[in-house]
Order: sequence, then structure tokens, then C-alpha cells
Amino acid sequence: MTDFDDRPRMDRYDLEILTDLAAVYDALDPMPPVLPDLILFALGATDLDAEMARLVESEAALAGTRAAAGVELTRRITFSSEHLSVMIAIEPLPGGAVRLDGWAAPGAGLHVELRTSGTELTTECDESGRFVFESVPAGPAQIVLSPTAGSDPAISVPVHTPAISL
Amino acid sequence: MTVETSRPNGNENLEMQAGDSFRRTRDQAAESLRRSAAPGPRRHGEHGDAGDLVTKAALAFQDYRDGVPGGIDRLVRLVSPLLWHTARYCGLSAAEAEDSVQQTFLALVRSGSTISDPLAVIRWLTVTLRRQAWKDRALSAQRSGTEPNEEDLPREPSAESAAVLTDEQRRLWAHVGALSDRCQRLLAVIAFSPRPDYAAIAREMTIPIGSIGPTRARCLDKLRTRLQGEEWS
Repeated sequence: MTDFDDRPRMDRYDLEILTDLAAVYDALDPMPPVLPDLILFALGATDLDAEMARLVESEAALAGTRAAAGVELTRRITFSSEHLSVMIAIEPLPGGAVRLDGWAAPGAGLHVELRTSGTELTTECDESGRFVFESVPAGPAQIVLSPTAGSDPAISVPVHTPAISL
Repeated sequence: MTVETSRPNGNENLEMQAGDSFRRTRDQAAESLRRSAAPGPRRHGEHGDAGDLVTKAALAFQDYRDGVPGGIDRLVRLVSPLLWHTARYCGLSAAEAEDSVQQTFLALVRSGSTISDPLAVIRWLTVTLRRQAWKDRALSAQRSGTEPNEEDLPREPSAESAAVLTDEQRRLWAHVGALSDRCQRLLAVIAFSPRPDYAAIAREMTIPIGSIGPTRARCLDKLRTRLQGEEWS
């Protein structure tokens, strides 16, 4: 391993300061504890032929009907790959499960799989690219959209979203 | 400003390779670390573990390559916090940082066979993450119609949650906050990277690579002076 000029060398007190500083950053901006599990979940499904969509935007908003209660938040996440955009809305249901509404563009005819740690749910996009999973257990999940004879020919390989925490 | 758009590939990875042998055994990896590790007194506390992080990650990565169960699990749990802070300090939002760390590990699984020396795995991961973070920020700036620039590259953690700090940590944080932006950024990088990638830091901070060592020393001196001044007052 090439070491670039690392002089003047740090002494013990420098290292103590840096260790303390790292602890401050850890306290102020901790990594979400679920992240390693999400990563391992995503790695478990790595399909070398699939295209990986990237997260573009993530926001939480008060769910319309539950806004009065002021507790439940609907999350909206947008993903994008070279030929496909996907937006999902995740709405918490009583009892810990969630409802997942999705819109893919161009989504008409795409086959949709939702991988979770326990199950694999499937559905199809309608002509407008819309898809719904009415009740999904909370936990890590990943959406895979696959082309069919009726989908946009530009989408030639399955597109994965990153793993997300439902 | 040049925007890095290429994905890491085999050729780019060459710079991260020690290159002696294509595949080292674990013993050779450990021996290599013993040779490259600095002698005793500089290592202290968790920073003694910083060197260990490189070794532990190398061993986990080697296990993963050898098909030992749990190798990738150990590697992900060991290195994720470092990558998270690196991504945050590259200016990514929390959601973007999560995505970015995930993509970085996917890249490792897809093209990690190009890493000849397991001891280089942490450097490979942090370099890959930084390149991607820079590219993501350029894309997101494109969408919002603003140019990325050096000023908004790093983002400090929100001080809103300063309540979680001990008194001692709050004092340190206040002294760090009084340093120049450049010092703050450099110290944050060095605090989290046991063996920081100086070439990437130099590019991100737009300072010559040869200035990083002296700048780091100056910043630490200033911080020490402030901390010691407080102790004596």
C-alpha cells in the first residue's frame, strides 16, 4: 500500500484527540443501526445481470387520514435507473405492517416482485405504471421490476431498487 | 471543476493494489500488516484499533473470498460505520448516505476480485464511496440547477443533537468549531479513516497532496493549543 507523506507523525495526544473527535461525530450523527442488516439483505439478492436503481429522493409526510393523530408518517421514496423511474409511498398500517403504493415510469406491463426477509410477493403494473402491495411485513425489502412482452422495450433487464427498511 | 464520472473498474483499482501477488494467504496478509504497522507508542486506545480495523477487515474479506461463512457479514458490520461517516462528510443526506454505503458494498461484491491485497479493502471501499458520493452530488446539483462546489462538499453533523454529548465532548466540539473550515474537514476525515486516501482528500479539498500532512499537523497544533489553554485557565 502506498503511503503518502504522513509526516510530521502524530503523537499519542493527537490520536487521543482524534479518537475523542470520532466519538463526538458518532454521538451527533450515528449510523442508523439497521444499515448493516439492509446491506446484507441487498447482497443476498445480488443478480449480476440486473440494473440497480439509485435513490433520488426520500421524504416523510404526514399521512392524509392520520394527520390529525400526528403520529404515523407516510414515506415517499423515488428511485431512478437508466430507463426507469420508480416512486413508492409506504404507509404504516395498524399492527406493524405497511401498505406500499408504487408508480413506475415507463411502467406499463412490468412484473413487480417485492422481496422481504420472509416472503416474496408479486404483482403487475397496470397501464399507467401503478402497483400496490396491500399489506407487507415491516423489515428489509427490495423491489425488482422485470420486463415482459408488454412492457417498454427500452427496459431489457430486471431493475432492482436498493434494500429499504419498511 | 472536473466531475468524476467513471465508475471504479479494474484499471483504476490498480492504484490501490500492493501488487506483489495476486492472492495472499491470511498469514502473508498479517505479516504484511506487521511490516507496515507503525511501532507501539503512536497507537493508543481506539486508534490502536484503527490499525486493527484494517487487519480485521482484511481477514473478513479474505474469508469471504475463500467462501468461509460469515465473512461478508463481519466485513459489513465492521466497515459500515466508517463508510456512513465518510458519506455524510461528503455532503450526502442520511437517505443518500444509506444508499451510497449499500451501493459501495454491491460494487465490492461485483468487482472486488480486482483487489489483489486484502489489506487494501478498506481503502478500496472508501475510495469507491467517495467517487460515487461526488458523482451523486454532481447529479443532484444538476437536477436542482446548481453547481456543486468545494464549499458545500462536506456537511457537518447537525449540532441540534448536541444534548447527547458529554461536557467534555461539548468542549472539544466547541474548540473544533472555532477552527477553519479546512481544518474541520480534514480532522473529520482523519478521525474516521485509519489510513486516509490522501489523493482523494487532496482532490476534494483542492489542496496539493503534499500539503495534507503539514495542514493536518497545523490543525492539530491549533486544537491542542486551544484545549491546553483551557486546561490552564
